[in-house]
Amino acid sequence: MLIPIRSKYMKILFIISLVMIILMSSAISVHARRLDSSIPVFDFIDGVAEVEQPIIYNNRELSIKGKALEGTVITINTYWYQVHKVKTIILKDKLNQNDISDTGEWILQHTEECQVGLSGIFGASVPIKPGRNKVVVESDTGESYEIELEYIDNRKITEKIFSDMFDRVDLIFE
Amino acid sequence: MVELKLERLKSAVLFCLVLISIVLTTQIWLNMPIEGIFIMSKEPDENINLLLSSNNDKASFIKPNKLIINNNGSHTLLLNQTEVSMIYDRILEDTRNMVIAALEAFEGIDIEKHEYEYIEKLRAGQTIELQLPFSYDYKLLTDILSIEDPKWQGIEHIDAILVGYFSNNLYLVDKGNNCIFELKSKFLKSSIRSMVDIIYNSRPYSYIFLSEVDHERYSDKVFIPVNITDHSMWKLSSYPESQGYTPENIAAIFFKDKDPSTLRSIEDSEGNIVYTDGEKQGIRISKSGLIEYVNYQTTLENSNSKFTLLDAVNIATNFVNNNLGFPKDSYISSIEQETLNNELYRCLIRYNYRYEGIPIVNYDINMDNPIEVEIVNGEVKRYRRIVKNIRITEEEKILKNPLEIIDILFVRLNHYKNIDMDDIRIKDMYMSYFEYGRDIPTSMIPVWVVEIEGDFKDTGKYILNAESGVILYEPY
Repeated sequence: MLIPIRSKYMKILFIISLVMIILMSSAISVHARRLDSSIPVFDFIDGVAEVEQPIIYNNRELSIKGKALEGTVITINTYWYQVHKVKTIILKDKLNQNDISDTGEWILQHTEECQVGLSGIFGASVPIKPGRNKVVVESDTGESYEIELEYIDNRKITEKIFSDMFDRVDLIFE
Repeated sequence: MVELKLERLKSAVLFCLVLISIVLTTQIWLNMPIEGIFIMSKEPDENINLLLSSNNDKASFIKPNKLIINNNGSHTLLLNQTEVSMIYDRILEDTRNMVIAALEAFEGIDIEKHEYEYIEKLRAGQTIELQLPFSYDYKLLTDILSIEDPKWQGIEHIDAILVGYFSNNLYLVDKGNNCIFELKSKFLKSSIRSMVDIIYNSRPYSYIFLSEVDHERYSDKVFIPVNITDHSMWKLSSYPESQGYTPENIAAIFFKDKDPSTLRSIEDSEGNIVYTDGEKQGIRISKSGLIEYVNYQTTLENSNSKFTLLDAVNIATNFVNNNLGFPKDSYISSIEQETLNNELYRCLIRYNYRYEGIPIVNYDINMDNPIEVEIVNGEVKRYRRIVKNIRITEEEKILKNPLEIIDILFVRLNHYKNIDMDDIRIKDMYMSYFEYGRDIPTSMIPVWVVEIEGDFKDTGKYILNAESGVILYEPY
């Protein structure tokens, strides 16, 4: 249902909300940009360095790079965690972290396979989606490494706030 | 009536408040000066379609070999292509302004020295990285940028410049001395972050530094794209710039103060033409397009006149500007100097140019820096150039994955030349256009140039067809 803005108090309220949204989204933007990430090198010869997970990430593309012996076939799979819709904010707040992981499922997004040559290096660029993502890199020798990362897209957050607040507002001043 | 005016006034005030909030918030978002928010497009360049230009300031010849954008662990290479040239130029201009502001300031700048390994942290963060084509002497760089009395005198050379586009910190890399200087100030501002946003919105190709995977076999300059299977490049065709002139026209450019009828000309059996004034100078115009100028009177022995590196750059740049000019997107690619009794007496300045951000490799591989000026005792002794007018063709070339290119090269070195894999190290690798064949117009095809170093005789540049991987040139 559209809500036309008629009263002058509504106009003022709308403008104040607009300003607040801009300020809030700027804070989100600043926060998102300050996050550091460290995507490990998938080294099938010397092993992979331990990293704190989930890795916070803010790019749509993720570069995967690694090292393996010549002839090794490497398969890269990426998964995105689809969260099942939660009815209310109150219910969401009551859930703890373990409960949240139970309310969704990992969905395969992208698969890529390559054979390592004399260079001893493999590399790929894979797309990731906002939210939780998982990258599984495995070799034909049976070794496998997995990292989990969280992609924070500050533009999407801003868009979401705008759409949630103003989708039902008829922006016609009378 | 009064109420209506009051309402209008209130609306105007509200409008202004919203506008100010948007401007200020954008400033916070992008951490840039207010004027930077309003990025005006440049006035269209009248010479945009001309290859040659003769109005170049020497500071504009400081350009990077590679302009890399590091974004939280992902990397991309920004090429000076037509559609992003405004962004490319803006990043260079902002970086140049930051360097000038940081090195000229007498207060408000904090400087911190790091080990060279700190570059890994900078590459993992949010920085733009300008890898310069050679190690610039600090004094020369500051002189070219017209920085009078630079404050920081501890810096000797500059190999690369990085800017943190979030922090607006400036980093000067002196690789020879294994250090990075970090310059911080609240006064350092730039609009680079907004430029990076624009680039990332266009989903650029992802690149990786191979040294991050294996630093023993790959130098930290080796920077290649991943997933370029869908990428193609146009084949080009070129013809020598000398074909756009008659030999008499070229002679008239070089002998401006002479009556053309007093010049002597000789044509040899191969069709090369030599002009001389019979006393001081001469030029040779080859059929291949090579134009050479020689000043016979300048000798290495006569070392009376004193000159500096900056003088040499000024002399060389002015000389090229006055004699056929620079191709579009030219830059200084190397400077060699010789001293005698601690005085500079000979200097060789080389310039390179790029087509759509991709450097050109001439058929004569020894002239892969297509413009060379030799300065002796403050005078131009020799000037050589082989510049091509380039046209795009309708033929597309699908590019091979660069890791496959490396594999092909390693197979050649290891299996056919019996060089141990542990002895081979890749120093650099980059995309170029290579002149293929001697017909005119000449074909120019996309290639990968791979520079190999190691303790064996076959080191140097290898050129591989970027589509097929066939080795077109190798050192012997």
